[in-house]
Amino acid sequence: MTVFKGYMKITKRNIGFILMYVAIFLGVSIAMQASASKNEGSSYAAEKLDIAVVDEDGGMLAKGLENYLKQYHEVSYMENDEGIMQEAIYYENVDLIIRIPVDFEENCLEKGEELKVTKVPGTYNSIYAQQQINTFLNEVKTYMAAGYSMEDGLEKIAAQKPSEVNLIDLNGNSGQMPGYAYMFRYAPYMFLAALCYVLGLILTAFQEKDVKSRMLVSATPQRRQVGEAILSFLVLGVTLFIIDIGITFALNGREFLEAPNLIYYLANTFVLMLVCLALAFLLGMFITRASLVNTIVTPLSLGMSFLCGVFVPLSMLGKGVKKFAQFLPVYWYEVNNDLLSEYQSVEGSVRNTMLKGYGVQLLFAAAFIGIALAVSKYRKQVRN
Amino acid sequence: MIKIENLVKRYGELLALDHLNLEIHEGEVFGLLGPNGSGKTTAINCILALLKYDKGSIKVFGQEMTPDSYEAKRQIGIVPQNVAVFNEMNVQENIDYFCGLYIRDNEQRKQLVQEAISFVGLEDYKKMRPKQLSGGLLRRLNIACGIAHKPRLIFMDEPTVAVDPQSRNKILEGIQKLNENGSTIIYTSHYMEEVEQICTRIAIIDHGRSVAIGTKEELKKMIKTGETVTIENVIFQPENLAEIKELPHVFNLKYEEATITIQYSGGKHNLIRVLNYLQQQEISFGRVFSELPTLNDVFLEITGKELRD
Repeated sequence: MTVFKGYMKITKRNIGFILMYVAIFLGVSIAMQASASKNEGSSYAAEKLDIAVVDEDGGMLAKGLENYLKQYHEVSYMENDEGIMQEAIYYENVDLIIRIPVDFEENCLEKGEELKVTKVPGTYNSIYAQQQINTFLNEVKTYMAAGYSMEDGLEKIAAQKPSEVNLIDLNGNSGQMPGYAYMFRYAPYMFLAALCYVLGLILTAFQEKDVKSRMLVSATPQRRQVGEAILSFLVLGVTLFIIDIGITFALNGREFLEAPNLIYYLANTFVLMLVCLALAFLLGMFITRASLVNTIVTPLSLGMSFLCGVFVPLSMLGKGVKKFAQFLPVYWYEVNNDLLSEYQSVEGSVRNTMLKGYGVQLLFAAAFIGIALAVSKYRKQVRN
Repeated sequence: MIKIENLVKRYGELLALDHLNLEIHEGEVFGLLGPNGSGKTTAINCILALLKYDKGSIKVFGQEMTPDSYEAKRQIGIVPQNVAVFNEMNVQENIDYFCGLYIRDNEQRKQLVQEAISFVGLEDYKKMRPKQLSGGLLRRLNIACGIAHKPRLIFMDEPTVAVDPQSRNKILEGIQKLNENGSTIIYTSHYMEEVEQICTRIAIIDHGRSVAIGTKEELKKMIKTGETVTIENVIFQPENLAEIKELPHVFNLKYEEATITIQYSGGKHNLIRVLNYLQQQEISFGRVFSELPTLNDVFLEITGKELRD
């Protein structure tokens, strides 16, 4: 296993680069995952406001309004102190302060005066609460005009339930992208950069003319040498695959292990790893100097990642870009990955699309190996 | 040990080897000389089965050499012209790797690697990477990688290129020692004095053919020049030059910038004869040299070109 050990030794010497790409992958995945969950949180806050009420009236109508608002928002009470109110608004402790004046019923219901509302400057979500206040007052007016007493009218309004919105969860994800899906989205960059870089360096060293001659005239049959080289490629690829899955498990725990389409995620990533190995093999055939490896691998891995929906989701890419990306293997990985993050259950047409994605990726891998072998054969013929 | 018969190799229209015939015997240090493009490297690559050839036959250890002749390959070592090692491995790891392509047994290999390190004098550099080594040390590492498995037949392609005199001497001593230990060595170099120093037999290749083969003494006998006398700071009249040309064994002379170079085809007392002539004619002169033919003279006369052409 001399050749295998040789590959492993050179890999060991370049372990720093592998760790660097793993760290970049980890950093980007965690940052994007955190950023995504933060965005989701802020969108919910916009629907439920923090409202402070300064109740100078304390009457039945004022209490009715407060109870009505409590159905939709977080309502707290505040003293009638300009300083405290200004501070609360300045520090954005509340979104809105509603001042219910003395003689609220008379001033607002009969004379039609508007409630004093103070909001955080530059925000628009208070309009939503102001509309609700107007709705409440109009409903009270309507009930009283219909002959109901204030008490009965308020009871009727309180009995109204807020409208329910039913989410039809077709894909089983509740419209959410699972956390581990981010890890899989960014995985191609790590596989492309780490495998192409390290294997590119190794192959450049082994393809050096005189080293190659030394190996060809040695007593180790060429078939054995090729076999050991393939084995070392696979060991490196599978190790990186295990690292990727290990990190995803470490960061997502049971949620990841219990994912209903886990096996499809694993298969998609394994196929991607094979594609990256094949691409690394092809690059190794063309790169003649170690100094060129970085020059070629960096733009290749970054370029493919940007074009194929690794760093920017496919849904945000233009039609032209997507059309071009179809000629790159990572695109098909990301299509599969998006399907898996969208659908919990892989059946029917989703399953067919997934299988097509696997197939196209494997075809890319076969094409890369085929080209590399053809180049090698051509060179051998030229040499002879 | 190696028998090449009527070897023909073409690169398209170019005839690289033109019915080359060579026989190399066990125990020799065989020098392969030739100008650039003469076919030396092509011949070596054909012997090693790195290249296919169009016609002829090559037998190594009595067997036809093919890419699958692993038994023969087991007994062959090569030291390429360029240093062929891995920059990512240290000295010991490099030697171990290349030795491992021949020797599977770990214990045996360990011992052979240590012996190779001692042989080339790299004991103090075992853990160093190639980039940390000087040119001379790198060459020694290159040799160690080719000989660690103790081959019977070693091909050395200009192993002393760009090496300081100290390392060169060490390398040449090593080659002689390898030969004494039983290895047959095929040695190519552009340094004539090296070839003269260590090779027991020499072949001169030109235009893909072996144009001369033999020991250095045999080769020197093949050429016309037997002795060359050079006299500096001497003024001659044309009649003097004509008279010198008539001296016994003189076949050529060159007079330029007050220096005369006289070539003799052989004979004895040539120097005394020319000095007597100068005394008789009362011609004053500066320094005088007498040189026997070198391998370079042989090469020049046979191929008509400088070795570095």
